[in-house]
Amino acid sequence: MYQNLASDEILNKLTQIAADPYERAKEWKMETGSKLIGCYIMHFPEELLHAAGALPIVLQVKEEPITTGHAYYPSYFCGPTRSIVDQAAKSELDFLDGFVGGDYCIQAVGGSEVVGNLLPKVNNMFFRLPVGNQAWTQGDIVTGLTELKRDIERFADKEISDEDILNSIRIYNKNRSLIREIYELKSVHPSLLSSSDMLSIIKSSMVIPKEEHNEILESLIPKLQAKKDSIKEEGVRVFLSGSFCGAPKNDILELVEQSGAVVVGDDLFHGYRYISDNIAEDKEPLAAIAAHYIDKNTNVPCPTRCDPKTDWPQYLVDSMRKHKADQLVIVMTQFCEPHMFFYPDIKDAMQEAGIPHLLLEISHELDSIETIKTRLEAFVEMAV
Amino acid sequence: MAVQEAKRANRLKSGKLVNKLVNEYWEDLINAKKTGKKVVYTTGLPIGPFMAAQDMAWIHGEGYGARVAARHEEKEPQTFAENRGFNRELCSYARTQMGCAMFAELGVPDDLNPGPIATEIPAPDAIVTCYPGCSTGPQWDWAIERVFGKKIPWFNVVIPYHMGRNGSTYMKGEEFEENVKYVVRQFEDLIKFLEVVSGKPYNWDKFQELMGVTKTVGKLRMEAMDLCKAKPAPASFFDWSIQIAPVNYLTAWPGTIEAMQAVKDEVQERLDNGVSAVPNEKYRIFWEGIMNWNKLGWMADKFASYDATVVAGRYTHMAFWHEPDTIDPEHPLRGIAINHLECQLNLGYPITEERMMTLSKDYSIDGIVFHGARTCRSFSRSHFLLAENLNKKMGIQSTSFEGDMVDDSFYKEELVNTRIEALIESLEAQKSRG
Repeated sequence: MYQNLASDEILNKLTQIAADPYERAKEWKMETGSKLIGCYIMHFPEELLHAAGALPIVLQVKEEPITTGHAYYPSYFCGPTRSIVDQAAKSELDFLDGFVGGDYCIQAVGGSEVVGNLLPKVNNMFFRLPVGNQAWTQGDIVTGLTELKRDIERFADKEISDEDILNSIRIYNKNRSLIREIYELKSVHPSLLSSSDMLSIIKSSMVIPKEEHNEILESLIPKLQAKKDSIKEEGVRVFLSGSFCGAPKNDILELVEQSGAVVVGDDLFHGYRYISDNIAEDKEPLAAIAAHYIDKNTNVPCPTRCDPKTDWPQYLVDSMRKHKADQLVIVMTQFCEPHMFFYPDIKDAMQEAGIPHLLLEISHELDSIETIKTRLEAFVEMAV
Repeated sequence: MAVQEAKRANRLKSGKLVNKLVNEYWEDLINAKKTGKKVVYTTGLPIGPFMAAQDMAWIHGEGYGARVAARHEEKEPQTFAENRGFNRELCSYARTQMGCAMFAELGVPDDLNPGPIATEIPAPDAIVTCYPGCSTGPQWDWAIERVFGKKIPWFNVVIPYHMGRNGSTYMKGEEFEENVKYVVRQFEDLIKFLEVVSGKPYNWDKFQELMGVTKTVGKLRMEAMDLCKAKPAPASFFDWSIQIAPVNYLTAWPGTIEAMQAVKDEVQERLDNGVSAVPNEKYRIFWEGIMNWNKLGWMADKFASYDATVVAGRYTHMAFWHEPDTIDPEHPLRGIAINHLECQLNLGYPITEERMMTLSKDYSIDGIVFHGARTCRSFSRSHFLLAENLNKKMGIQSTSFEGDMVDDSFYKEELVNTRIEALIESLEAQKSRG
């Protein structure tokens, strides 16, 4: 279906999916009669839900202003949690059969509580993912996965076998591997894809069946390979960091590039963080998923995981060097506590390594795009 | 129209005994290194007895922040933390303690002039996190660990959120029992960790004795608060906030039984003699939210001026050894786990609502004040739902305003006045309608 399309046409298709992120999932539900499960950002085992025959979709932030949701969640909570509450309050999530919340951030916990209240007919599940990295943490994650698997089985009225989970792991691993291939291409040929294109690739992966997404990517990658050498490369090489839970706004990504920069890598949740690592296919499945939570956090450290064996600032310094990046742009979601606790350490690490960085604290309502534009232009100009 | 006259809250006098204990505790802590004691930083739940059994000193991050604020010394450490890059939207307890910890580790910058309490904090030998229903605690302790050069041993007791899955309710059900076992196992590991830090076998006899004290103090406090179901109430939520130390960071400290017994005796004596916390109680209010420590006295008098007694609150009545009967001093770990798991911040929404409704009924609540502590999102996460549902299910009116625990820059006094006045007017109208 996609093989005859040009790369730009495929990317346009992914952009359309990302712009209206729940439409394909709703169609899928009509076609299959199966259950749709919303995953409340940011840590959840999609593979377990997929293994039960459901379609897990990552609930997305909408860029429109929050209105109805104000009655249910205070304005000093982060945009991603408020936006999802707002969608539930506007009955935009009524198509869900269930959703899975988590305990990694209190704002996400609270948001799940409100959504559970607003959607009483939707099955409200919960993934207990213990923080830290002590001798027993991996075993405790297996316990959390076992509890969730039990609840999914009760909800889906279907026993999930190890073979089911392994099959799902293979499909999801393939998707992660394919997206990583695109990342490798973009690191060497950053102008091959805009950062908005990358965002569409990731975001669409989060909201449509992975099997379909794999098919799209298998058509896209050869076309990008064929095109890469014809692309003229210029611009200041920038690494993007942060933006947990919610996707960075397209406006911001465009401004980075309009300022004369090219994005060579990122650790965004709607980015490399989502696909950084595969799950082992040669281990007992739940143990493999638990190990994945520890391993992927070592590869791309997450401040919500509270693992003192990881070093996010050093990871950023190393990534900057690996991708030959000149500058770091930090996109901090307003009120994001885990990110706020880490910023001083990142600042120190960048100063010590002699890497210029710019912190952009972004509110959901995006009060002044012009201020951000001016700051970005001045920052990028420093490296020219 | 409610008229605000200059009336004062009639605060409990026996609180002075608690002040004495608080001063002893801080003196002991400040001199801990000189007396050869190891110092453990903690945040979250009152776990002092674990360390006290090994003759170690402990600093409770929130308690320290509150003390610094109560002495009006919070600005300098908060400024230091913000200058280093900590955003002012972060937990103000954390910013305050981080600033003090940085004074200890990095020294005091020339342009700051902090007070004595803010600069007295000794450096840690270990960090123990035990945080319920809030992700901020472990993230805060991790930041502390980094301030001290990633060299301090850190033990994190994970308190799993009690969501209420599969029909689990308060202290009941599969999820509750699984959580209790999980926390007990972590406490067993914590004890092994403390043996390593202290360099000696765990003193179980001392620990059991301390948990006996904890149980007694917890019971005395719950009984004393129970007496305030009477109308008019002999003591208020603000008294229980002032008296929180003996069940918080002073848990099992020598003298806490006598101090809490004195508090209970005074409440009983007031009840016997018809003395009330507010001179002319007309309205009974529930305080929903964490306390605003640098506004406590002002707030107590404010409600007294409107003949309103704030009789109970989620902060004081749903935590701090609020289930003392579950503690078996001979085998204390299960009881500690239950008190911590079932505390005010760790309960899923339906359980929280059910507990609030029970307390509202027990204390004959007319109205609720929702204090949205700007930097304690754990507490304020369910405020809007609670306001709507308690009104729908019980007809209770409410008001809300933003404030904070120890950062009064989030406080807009005139707005607070207006909101409280509006609540009182609506309660007056409700009463006049019969």
